Amino acid sequence: MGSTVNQSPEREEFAKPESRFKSLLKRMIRNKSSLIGACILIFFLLIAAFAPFLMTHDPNSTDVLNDFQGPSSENWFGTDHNGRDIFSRIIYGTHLTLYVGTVSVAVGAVFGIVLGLLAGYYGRILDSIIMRVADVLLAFPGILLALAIVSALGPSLNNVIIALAIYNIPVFARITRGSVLEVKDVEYIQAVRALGAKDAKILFQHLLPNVSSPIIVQASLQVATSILSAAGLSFLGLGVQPPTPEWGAMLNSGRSYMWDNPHLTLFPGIALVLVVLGFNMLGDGLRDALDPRSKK
Amino acid sequence: MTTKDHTPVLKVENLQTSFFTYDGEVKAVDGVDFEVRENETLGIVGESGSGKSITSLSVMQLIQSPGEIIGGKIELNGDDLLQKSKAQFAKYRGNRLSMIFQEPMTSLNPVFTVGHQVAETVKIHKKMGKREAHQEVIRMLKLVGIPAPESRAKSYPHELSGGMRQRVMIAMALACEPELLIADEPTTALDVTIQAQILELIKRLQESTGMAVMIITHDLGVIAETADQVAVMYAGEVVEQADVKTLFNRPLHPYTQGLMNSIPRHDVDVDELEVIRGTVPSPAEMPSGCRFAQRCPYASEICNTHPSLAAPSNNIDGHTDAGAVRCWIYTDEWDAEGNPMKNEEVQQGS
Amino acid sequence: MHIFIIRRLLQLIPVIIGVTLVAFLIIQLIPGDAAQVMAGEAASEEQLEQVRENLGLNEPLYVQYGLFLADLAQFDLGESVRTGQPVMELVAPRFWITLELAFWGLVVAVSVGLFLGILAANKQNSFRDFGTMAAAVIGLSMPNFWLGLMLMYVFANQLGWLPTSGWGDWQQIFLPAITMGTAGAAIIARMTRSAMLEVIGEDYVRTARAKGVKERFVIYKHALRNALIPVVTVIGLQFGYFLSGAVLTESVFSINGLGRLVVDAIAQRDFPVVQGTVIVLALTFVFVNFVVDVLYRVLNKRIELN
Ligand SMILES: Nc1ncnc2c1ncn2[C@@H]1O[C@H](COP(=O)(O)OP(=O)(O)OP(=O)(O)O)[C@@H](O)[C@H]1O
Ligand code: SF4
Ligand SMILES: [Mg+2]
Repeated sequence: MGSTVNQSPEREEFAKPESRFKSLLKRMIRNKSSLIGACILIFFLLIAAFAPFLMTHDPNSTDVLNDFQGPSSENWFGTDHNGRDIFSRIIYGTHLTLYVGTVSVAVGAVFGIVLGLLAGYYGRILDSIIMRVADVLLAFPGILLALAIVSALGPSLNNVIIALAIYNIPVFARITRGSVLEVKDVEYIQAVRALGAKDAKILFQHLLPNVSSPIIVQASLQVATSILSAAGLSFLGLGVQPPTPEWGAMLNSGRSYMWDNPHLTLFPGIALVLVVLGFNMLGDGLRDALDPRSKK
Repeated sequence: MTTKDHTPVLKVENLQTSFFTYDGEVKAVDGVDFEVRENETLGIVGESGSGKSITSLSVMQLIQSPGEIIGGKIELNGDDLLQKSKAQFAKYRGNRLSMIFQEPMTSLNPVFTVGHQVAETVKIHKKMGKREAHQEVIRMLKLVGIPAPESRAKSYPHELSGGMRQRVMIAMALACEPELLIADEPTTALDVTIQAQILELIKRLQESTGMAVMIITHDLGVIAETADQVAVMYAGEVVEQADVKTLFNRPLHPYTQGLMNSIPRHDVDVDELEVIRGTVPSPAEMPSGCRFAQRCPYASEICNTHPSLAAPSNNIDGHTDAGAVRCWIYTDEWDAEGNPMKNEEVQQGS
Repeated sequence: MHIFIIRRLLQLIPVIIGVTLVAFLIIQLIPGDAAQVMAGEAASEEQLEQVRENLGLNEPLYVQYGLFLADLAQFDLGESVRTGQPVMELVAPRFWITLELAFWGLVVAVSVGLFLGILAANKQNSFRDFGTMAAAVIGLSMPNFWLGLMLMYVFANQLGWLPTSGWGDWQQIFLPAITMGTAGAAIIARMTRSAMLEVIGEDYVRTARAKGVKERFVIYKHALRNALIPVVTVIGLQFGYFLSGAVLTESVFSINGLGRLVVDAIAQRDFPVVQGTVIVLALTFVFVNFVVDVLYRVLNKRIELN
């Protein structure tokens, strides 16, 4: 029963190599989720960039005679308890939201990626130490760690960013380490190693690009989470302080007047949902586009 | 062993199954005909991707989207299966016709005991109660040679070896005494010694029930050991069909000859081993003529026209009982085209 | 299995120590004089000394942590700087309220999430599938405190169907539970869908069809049982997130649970209470994850082999 008809190897493996970036872009466009997400985010980026031209009023000028106005042609989203124009405040707050979300993730990602690379590449004790610490930080569910850190540091924009960055570090460390373990023993990396490349070069020039896909996906999703957390902290009064028009803080001050003036909480909330939705959809779409299983 | 005058248990005519993918239609099975009779084993052999599994899954109507049976006729003892509703046909599956698969490791549901899974079949089709079904399960497990069936019935699939699992699959498939058993590479995933045991078991059970068996394999050894009739598939078509003796003694189709020659033999010097060059053409570059033409050492002008599966019409060494072959060489047109190849040379493979 | 549980328990030890250490170090993060921050600007030197004494702030750090651990081992979380009440007394009753809240949130998340996930998977790429998944990603993107405010406005204020706030009556459960459960439902729906789609392509599902099992049972018996295994993990994680989500939900609905306690304590710079609450929440999360891990093992019989 020995011999068998020769089986042709998996055809897919011989697919023509295409520039990674180009093929990613192609698949992103085919993937509706990432396309919609990207459009939403570009929309908000433009708002943040051109805020001075878009604001119809000074976001901080109070006008007590004109408080609690409903939406009108003068105040598109109405005015708040101090008579400030909610539309302009939301426009102004856009850059704060994007800033907190992206910077806290960027800082967390840089530290997390480096730690993850080291843990995955060197293994052994270094790996154990880094990952045990990550386990500990991840043992604080959701917003709790950031809450504890901000409670000690005191409420401010920068402290929120620090807290969220710390919260993001173990997330990226874990994901990077996992990916490194997957690729570190492939022949290509082994070959580079055998040729005597320096560790730093292997880590950043060869390993990092090969583990970048899951990191990019995670980054997008983490920005969404971090924006939600930051808004939550502000809502609890632990983040950006009034009168800065940060969306979470606007929700916090608006809730007291909500019964008769729901527009105080409605519009900042919708803005928040849309931005978070943009990052979530981008992340989801990227994940599908980058998933080798869904190549077809 | 073949009794040609019997009505066949399974009769497949012009079966066409396609997959509708982003890149267009893939004709995985394209106009396949064959028959299997009572107590007879049909072996289907061919390279990977030639459409063997899709053929058998089509018979079971287990083709999943984006695949679809788009034409042809499948009859089980004269019953037109493609005319049945989904619910009607579900009553036949596992009852009148059954199938076992290549991967015993993944073909059993990991969260149910094997006893439960075998019992399910008889509960569905024989309307047995719990206790009765359990008795039946034990009987079947014993029949397929599983030691200590009482306790094994309580095992989960992961607690059994590959060979044992395939026995369970066989017990499940045969619990309702089907008229037809389809075995898609039933032994490929198993150790050589276990392979022989499983084939032996299928053979023994066939002898006792008289069921028709369709066995699919890459392995000509398995064909030689088990089949009565053989169909050779290439790129979604049957390219040659004959009884097993004829096929092995005198393969006609150049592809079949290539297959035969890729078996190492003691009487042939290894250097002379002829291996088929190239691979099955992809759907996009499927030739409109003979699908084997790109790899065929005898290809000529006329092969740009699609040959049909037919009994050889020109006389080959006086053999006219030679089944059917899809190749121009065995037609009168071959000579009419004034082809350089002589029939004697074509026969060199045997 | 026993070996697995024991090994997993041993792994918990460093995590638990780490969690207490982090919580302990919170006070060290306070910029400037921690005692001053806690006692307030107007505190006299004696009062400050009193606070330092009570919290052991005069000792070297490792001694402080040692004392902290020793107390913790006796379920002593220290005393409130404000009222002098033992933190344990503050935490214990509120812990149950928060657990209860998280439980009802989980009920919403699991029932809605499973239902929608199966619905979507059954008709892959249909309008129904698309609609469900769009709803899920929106649910995931909503700040739960904002959702709570909106629900409160519509159902309590405008329609008057349900009470606005508080905890205790059964009517008071609905809005907070929906508020908490929405994001979880979205995550569970997505997970269920993808697990179902994965499982539907498995060989054993084909085997079930080949046996003549009716399509309905193929889906709900053979496929769903297997698809639920990874979903269990997600459900466990959700429960943990609800514990922290409670901070916001409790604030919105004025529920007197651990979340309210910690937020109020932060406002009053009452750090022993903050520490105690954080430790209790984190350790509960660690425990829940442990249980889920074990459960996953029990459900997933295949892993045991390897
Ligand atoms: N889901 C699918 N989508 C697209 N094409 C498919 C799909 N499944 C099968 N095919 C096509 O059908 C052809 C025949 O596949 P089939 O599984 O029948 O081959 P086979 O002869 O059983 O091969 P093997 O020996 O590897 O089992 C494949 O070459 C492939 O092109
Ligand atoms: S028809 Fe022509 S190409 Fe095809 S197998 Fe026969 S000789 Fe070869
Ligand atoms: Mg096959």
